[in-house]
Amino acid sequence: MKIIRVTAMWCMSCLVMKKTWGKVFGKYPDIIIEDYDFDDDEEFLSKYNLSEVLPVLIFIENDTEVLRVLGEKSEKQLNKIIEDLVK
Amino acid sequence: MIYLDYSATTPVDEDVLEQFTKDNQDYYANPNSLHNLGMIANNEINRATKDILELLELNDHELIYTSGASESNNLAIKGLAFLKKNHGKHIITSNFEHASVVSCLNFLSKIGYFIDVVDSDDDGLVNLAELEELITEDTFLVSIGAVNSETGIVQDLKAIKKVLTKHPKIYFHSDMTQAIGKIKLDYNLVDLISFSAHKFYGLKGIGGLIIRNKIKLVPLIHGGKSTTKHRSGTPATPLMLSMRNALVKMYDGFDEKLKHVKEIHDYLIKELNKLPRTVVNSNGYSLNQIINISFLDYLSSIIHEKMSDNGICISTSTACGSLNPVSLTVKRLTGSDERSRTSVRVSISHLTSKKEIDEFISVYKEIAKL
Repeated sequence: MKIIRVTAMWCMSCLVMKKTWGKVFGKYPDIIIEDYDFDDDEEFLSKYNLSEVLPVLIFIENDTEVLRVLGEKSEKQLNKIIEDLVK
Repeated sequence: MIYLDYSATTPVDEDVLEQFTKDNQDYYANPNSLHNLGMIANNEINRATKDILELLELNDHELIYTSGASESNNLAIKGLAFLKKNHGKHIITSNFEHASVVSCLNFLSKIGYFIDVVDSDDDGLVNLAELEELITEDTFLVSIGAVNSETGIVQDLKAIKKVLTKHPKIYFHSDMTQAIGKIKLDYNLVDLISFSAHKFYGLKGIGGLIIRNKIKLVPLIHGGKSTTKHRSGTPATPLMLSMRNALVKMYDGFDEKLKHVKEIHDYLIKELNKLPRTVVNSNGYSLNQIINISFLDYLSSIIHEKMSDNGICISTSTACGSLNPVSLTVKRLTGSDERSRTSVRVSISHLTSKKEIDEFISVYKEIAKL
């Protein structure tokens, strides 16, 4: 599984989520995370039609988007999301 | 045009502007030049610096002139971080900071620093118990803004300082951009203070970072000594003097100005309370100049545009840049998605009249067909 993670330098929620991402994704070394910046990678990200809050996690499996997670999530919520996906 | 966006920026005071023009002609010499004109300019800067620090009742501090609060925040946070890189890598901040603070911290987190974001309580105040829990041996900086720019909530700096007093190695930085010129505060509570002149009827392009004497920073702009070793560049004498002049003018009759603002604030709240599907998100901890409102039937961007079309300047949250305005601050404070999507900020000043508030309410009634 791959996650396209979209953040921005000015994004408070991205800062808030950093610690949680470290804790949760640290348990899943097989998940590949590709980081993109909302402002710097505008051209690449245009195909994803980002229109809501940041950060955005786009879960990709077999080149297909299977889930999109927007904004802040608790560690518990994010754990549940990943557990459900990797079942 | 009715301007109700004084917390975004203020119109420059006419006297300040006039004196600025004159000072450009009188004090054009480089203040670091050793000739007579240079020394005169240098003396004027020293006098202005002394005046600013005295106005803020700070007597053991250095004022570093910057281009504005964004630069001040960058200098305070990165300047300390680079200096302390071998002594600590942990910074604590709050979840309602300005983008210039957030951007610095996101940048630092990418180069090996650890950032914790302390939560707020139901009133929008920093959770002091959590703040204390988050402090580690590695913590060298706590950066918490004095006033939230969207809701106007004023933090209890005294209580935060009380927590930090137990940890004397930790520096306390506060972005005071929305505080200076709006409320009376004990500025001695913090070690580093960021601010901008254009928030108190000064010119854009000048601001300051005030630091306690003996605090050292790694400069962001290297060069000659200028007025300080912490920030190089030829001193912009007329801008520096204009900031002093703006601050002096702002604090002249300050109590009367605050009294007027309170009257306008209370009048606006009374009128808003009469409107259906309208809630005020600012609370009892907010200063009177900032009133965050949700017109629940309209997205922020819609009401903002319609107000603008009718000659009324208010603002929406810019927390998400070019994305649809959604106020995370209001979401955190109220827990309501509806309120966060419909939130707008009205910011008033001592220049605001009841007539302007009447016009604002009247335009809303037209928009809402009430």
